[in-house]
Amino acid sequence: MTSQTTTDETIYVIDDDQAVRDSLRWLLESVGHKVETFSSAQEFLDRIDASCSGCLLLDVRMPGMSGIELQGILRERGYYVPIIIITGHGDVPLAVRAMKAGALEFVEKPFNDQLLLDKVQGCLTHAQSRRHDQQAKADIIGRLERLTRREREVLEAVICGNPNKIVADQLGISVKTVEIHRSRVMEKMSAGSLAELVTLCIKAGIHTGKP
Amino acid sequence: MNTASVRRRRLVAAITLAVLISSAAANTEVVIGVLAVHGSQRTLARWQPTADYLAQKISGYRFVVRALSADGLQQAVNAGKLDFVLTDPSNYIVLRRRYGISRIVTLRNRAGGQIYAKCGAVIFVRADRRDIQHLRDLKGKSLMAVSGESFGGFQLAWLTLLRHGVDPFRNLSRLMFNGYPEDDIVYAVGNGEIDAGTVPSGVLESMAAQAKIDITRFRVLNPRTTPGYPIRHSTPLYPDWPLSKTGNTSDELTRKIAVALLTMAQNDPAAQRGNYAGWAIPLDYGSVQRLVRELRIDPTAETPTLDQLVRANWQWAAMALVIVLFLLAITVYVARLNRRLKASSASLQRALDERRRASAEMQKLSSAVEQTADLVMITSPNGVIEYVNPAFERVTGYERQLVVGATPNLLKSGVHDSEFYARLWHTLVRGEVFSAVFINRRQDGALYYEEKTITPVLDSRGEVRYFVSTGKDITDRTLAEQRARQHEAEFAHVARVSTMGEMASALAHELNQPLAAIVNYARGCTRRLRSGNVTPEDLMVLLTRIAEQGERSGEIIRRLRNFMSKNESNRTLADLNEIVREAASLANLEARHRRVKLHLELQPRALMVLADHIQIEQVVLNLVRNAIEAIHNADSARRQVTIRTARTSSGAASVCVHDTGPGLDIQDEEALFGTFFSTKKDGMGMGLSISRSIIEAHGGQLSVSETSDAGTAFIFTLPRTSDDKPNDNG
Repeated sequence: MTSQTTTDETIYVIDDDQAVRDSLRWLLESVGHKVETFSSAQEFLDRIDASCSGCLLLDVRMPGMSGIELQGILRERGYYVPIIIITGHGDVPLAVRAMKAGALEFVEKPFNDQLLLDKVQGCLTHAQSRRHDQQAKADIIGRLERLTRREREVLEAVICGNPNKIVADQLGISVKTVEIHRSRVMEKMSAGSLAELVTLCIKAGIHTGKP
Repeated sequence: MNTASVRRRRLVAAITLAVLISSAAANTEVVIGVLAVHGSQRTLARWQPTADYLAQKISGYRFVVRALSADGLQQAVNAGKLDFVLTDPSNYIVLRRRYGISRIVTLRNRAGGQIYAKCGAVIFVRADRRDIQHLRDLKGKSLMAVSGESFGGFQLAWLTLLRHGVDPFRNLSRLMFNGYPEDDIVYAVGNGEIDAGTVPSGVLESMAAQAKIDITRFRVLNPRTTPGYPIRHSTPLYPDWPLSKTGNTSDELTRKIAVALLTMAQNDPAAQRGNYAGWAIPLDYGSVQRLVRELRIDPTAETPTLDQLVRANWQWAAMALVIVLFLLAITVYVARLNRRLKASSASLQRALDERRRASAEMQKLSSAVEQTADLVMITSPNGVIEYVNPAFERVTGYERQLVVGATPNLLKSGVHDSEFYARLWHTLVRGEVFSAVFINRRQDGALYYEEKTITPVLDSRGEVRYFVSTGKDITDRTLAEQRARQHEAEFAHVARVSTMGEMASALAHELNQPLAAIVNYARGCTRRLRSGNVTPEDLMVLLTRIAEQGERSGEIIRRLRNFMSKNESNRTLADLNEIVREAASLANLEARHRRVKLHLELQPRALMVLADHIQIEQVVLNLVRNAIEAIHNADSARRQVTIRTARTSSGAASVCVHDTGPGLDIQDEEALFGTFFSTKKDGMGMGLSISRSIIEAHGGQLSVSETSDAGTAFIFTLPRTSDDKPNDNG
């Protein structure tokens, strides 16, 4: 069962119907998910912050702030949470609007539990890998910041594919010095090869334009 | 003396006339004008059975069908000679604009074995005409239609042709109007007399079904597909013929007719003779209105402003003003004259009465008792009948010699319980007057209602010498009231069913909630049982929650069934707060659907009213749904409906439904509450009208007011009942 895995991610359930909310908690917890429930979009906004991580199960039709309005506010605040829209019978046009506003998935009430759990798992995996990517990027940027100005210049010249001699000419220093800087760069960036160094730089968003 | 006797004779004549008029009113004539497309003989033959059907369903009226041309219909409506109009959709739009007629039901037709309330037209050629593939290919060709005034037989094709760049009056080599029957147009196309033809949709199919034509020899131009309408058609579909009421028709009669027609079976003999399949809730004629405008079928549609009219006709206006002033002067003069005449006549009358009274007091009394329309019965102190008057004989059917010597027990119907008679004797024995409505039995076994007063006549010693019973036969009135109530109840039921139809989507949505919860709980249990991490205590809690959700769905269904039930009008003592709660839980289904919050502010004490609780619930639901719709349509930022109950200063119970919508344009409160007034596209427009008549039938009032924050508030009151006092104090 793919959905049996436990993760640190939380599933946020927003539904104004107490029974639906409670039953979703029961179902999701039965496979080991962490669940928090909210009776309205406003309550959710009041209680969470940017560090929230996981996925959002959102009833599209609620009194007060609508699901679509909530999506807009989350986007404005720069919170990233993948959203699964819950729709009732015959709400397809509304679901389509929600998907256009950026929801990842939608499920129809009453749910097929396996389908719902699979979609939740999909979203969590999505959220998790995105979080890992972001952590990795922050890590690389941290390493880049430890380079000296000269080392940084050497790095940028090297990842363009230039041999040491040309780098030496470009920077007006000796080949020997380039070699020393280059080995320090490899060390500080903890890269084993040029290919690895280039990959790290791409992940951190440094361009490796050809000369 | 002489003038007095002349006046007396006039008085008698006036009374006779009034009696004649009122007896005629018992069988009022209702005239239905029908557009005669097939000539008046066939039109009468087609619609008389429907008139007979109405006469059979609605007592007290005679229904007359008048077959009229379009012009004739217009003149008759203008002259106020018609109560109802049955005409084609475009003519209806013209008459609605000019004379304010309004539709109450839409005809349903049968085509290809199915029933529709919509119709269209086909434009067709012979299948082998390769040169005509599209409508635009008809340029320079000939076309045969029914007539210029025919809605399905020409006007629909006309608009569709215009849309395809073909003006039938300019671009065709020939435009022929062949009249009825439509079959001849089909034959003419079939044998090549004409290039193309147009007839109402369904004609080809029904001719093929009767083996009059081989339908594969014809090809429909611009064939359209409309889901749920498998009949060939080249034009968009429009609503079928409406039956409309004119301005001078009463709402009560209109409602009776709407109910009678809506409940007509599709295969009723009247429908079969009329070649139709019953009647539907009136459709939206907006599409027909656009057609009429585009084809300029109604040349007077652009009405000049009052200002222009006055400018153009100022001489007439001035003359009219002079005449009005003159008439006013005459009226004042005559009124003054009348008043003086009346005064002198009254004093003469008084003098006369004085003299007669003195001479014929005794004779008058006995003949009064003999001749009065009221039932009079005199019994001895122990209840033996000593005298009954002719009115008693007439109403009960018992002759005088048969009842004198018997006791009034022979009239007993068994309707009243022993407590009733105990109360009667208890009162009389104390020498007091007893009044009540008695339901007794005639000699022929039928029941009659008598509003009776029994007075003990005492002698000088204070002993009872006689009991005198006088009473009015109120059987007709009572039965008529019961029938009216029954009718009102049926109509309310039709409206409730229609309301539930409109709410179907919200209902489905609401039933889905507990179902989703049940499925989630059950699936969660299965998973936990499989993985073994669940305790029996957990399961107990969960099974209880599942049961609760099952009960919740059951409760929604119970409310629905209760609301849809066809109860006989049935008034009981009920708590208005309870009724409002019940209605609010139904309305909440729709409120959630429209993202509107319902807010209840109920008076803490019970508000007892004597009412038909389902009908009152229906009124509350109607008002709340209107409020939700107003908010939804305006897409208001604040989305709340407040329902408040209270006790007014005069002791009546009141309910106020207040929305945060944009407010109504309350220019014409009467029109707002009139039957079939609607701002909705698919509503029947009888919500407010039926609500008002339900409230008024309960002795209350329904009114509307704008509120300070732009919303609208509907308020109704129900009179206080004497029984709720203890409740109020305790």
